[in-house]
Amino acid sequence: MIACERVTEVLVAFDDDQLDAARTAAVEQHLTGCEACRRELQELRDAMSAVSDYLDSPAETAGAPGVTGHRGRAWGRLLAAAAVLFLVAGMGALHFFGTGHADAREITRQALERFEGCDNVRYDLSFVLPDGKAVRRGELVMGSGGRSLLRYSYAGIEYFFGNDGRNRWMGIRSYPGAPGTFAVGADVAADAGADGGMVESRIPDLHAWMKRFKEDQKAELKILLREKVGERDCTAIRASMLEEMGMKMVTTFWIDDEDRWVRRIEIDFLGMARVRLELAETDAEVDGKTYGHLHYATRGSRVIPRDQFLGTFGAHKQGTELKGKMPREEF
Amino acid sequence: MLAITETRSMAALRESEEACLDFEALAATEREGLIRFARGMLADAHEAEDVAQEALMRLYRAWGRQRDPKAYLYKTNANLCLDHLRRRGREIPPREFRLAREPLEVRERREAVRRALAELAPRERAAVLLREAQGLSYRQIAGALEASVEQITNWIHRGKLRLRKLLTPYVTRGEMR
Repeated sequence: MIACERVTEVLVAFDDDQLDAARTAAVEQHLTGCEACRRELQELRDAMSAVSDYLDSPAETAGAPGVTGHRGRAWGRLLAAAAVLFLVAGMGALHFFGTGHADAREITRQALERFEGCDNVRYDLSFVLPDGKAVRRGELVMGSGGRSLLRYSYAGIEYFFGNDGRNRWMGIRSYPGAPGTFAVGADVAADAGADGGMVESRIPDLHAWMKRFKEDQKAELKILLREKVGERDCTAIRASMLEEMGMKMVTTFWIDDEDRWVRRIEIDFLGMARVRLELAETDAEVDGKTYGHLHYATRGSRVIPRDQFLGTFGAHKQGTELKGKMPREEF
Repeated sequence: MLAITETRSMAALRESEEACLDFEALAATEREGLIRFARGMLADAHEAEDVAQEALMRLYRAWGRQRDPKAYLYKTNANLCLDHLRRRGREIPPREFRLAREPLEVRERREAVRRALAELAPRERAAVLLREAQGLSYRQIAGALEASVEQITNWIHRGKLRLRKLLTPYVTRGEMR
């Protein structure tokens, strides 16, 4: 029989099935008759079980563990990455942050039904990065009178937007891990000279989740947009996509002095409408409760002939414009 | 580029879409293991998620150019962790567990594991965790850590025996205390 010292030398390899048949048999035979070595093997296995238990155990999260938990944060990062891809794909103009309309699902369901049976033009959409990777897919349905639908999914997020023909986009998107569905409502005024106005959302039960999500998104955007992807690359990719689609859009991000994540979107959408949006998130107290608010404003949105919409957009002053209240100046 | 085509002409895009779906499937399968590994390496659950996500992002960017995407993923994740440790030095983050609903002895045992792993040399720790957290073969581990199978065998041997010595006071025979 081999000595205990020899067994200790190969005990780990034995437990990991790394020994050949002869040595395995020799160790097994030794273990049968040696309690000390059996104990050593058991202690080794117990230690590995403890390691496994640690790796699988939940860790407290800094934000809202009851809402998001371990996986939620991971999803947040993935979603943030997806959001960046979304922006690169250049469809940000349809990506309105939302309100708390309780009936959004019903509205969108009805909108969907209205499209059934109509003589629509239906497109499949794939947003493809220059290296050939499809990053998202869905469908665009254009009906009569300006009614249209955009529906797609990516990384488990379902997006749905409908235009009711009066240039109001409504829709929902749902996130895995979120305790509900985000309702989206955007009233993009199509009348010449009219403003779309400001919409304010009150989403108490989503506040903690959203806050955490936005924190992740901020961090991810800071890294990806500023360091990895690079503004120049983003702009170039977006420009080529939009050109093909007949769109012209400029999206600008910044983190303002109050650490709010802000973006401005300026777009000529399919040659039909000119839209300008600014979005910002804030917290606010209403009746003693803190709510997460997502503000968006459309200003100077109007239908103009496409050939008149080729001018450049003015530069904005980063980090100062959205302090206090939404700016009201014309572009 | 942005492609908008009618339904019947979508076949041309299907291949790239499927490649994307392949990535998503792989990411879904591997994410948990990557996080487990990184958590053991870095002694911090949140940093682990960041690193694992970064590894997945790198694979995404390199998708289609890697003969063995899984091997690339394991190697990238391990390298990111080792780089992280080099920058951080020997300090480990403060206590990770503050959840009061867990019994004290469980919290203590897990904290002991976290600290015991940090006692191992980074390469030993990586080898042990690729085995225990991700269930890789010695050959796969050798590929991820760019070492020979003999070296891996040696690192895992030393690492596991050290863990046994450090953790035995926290576990009873055959069952965790």
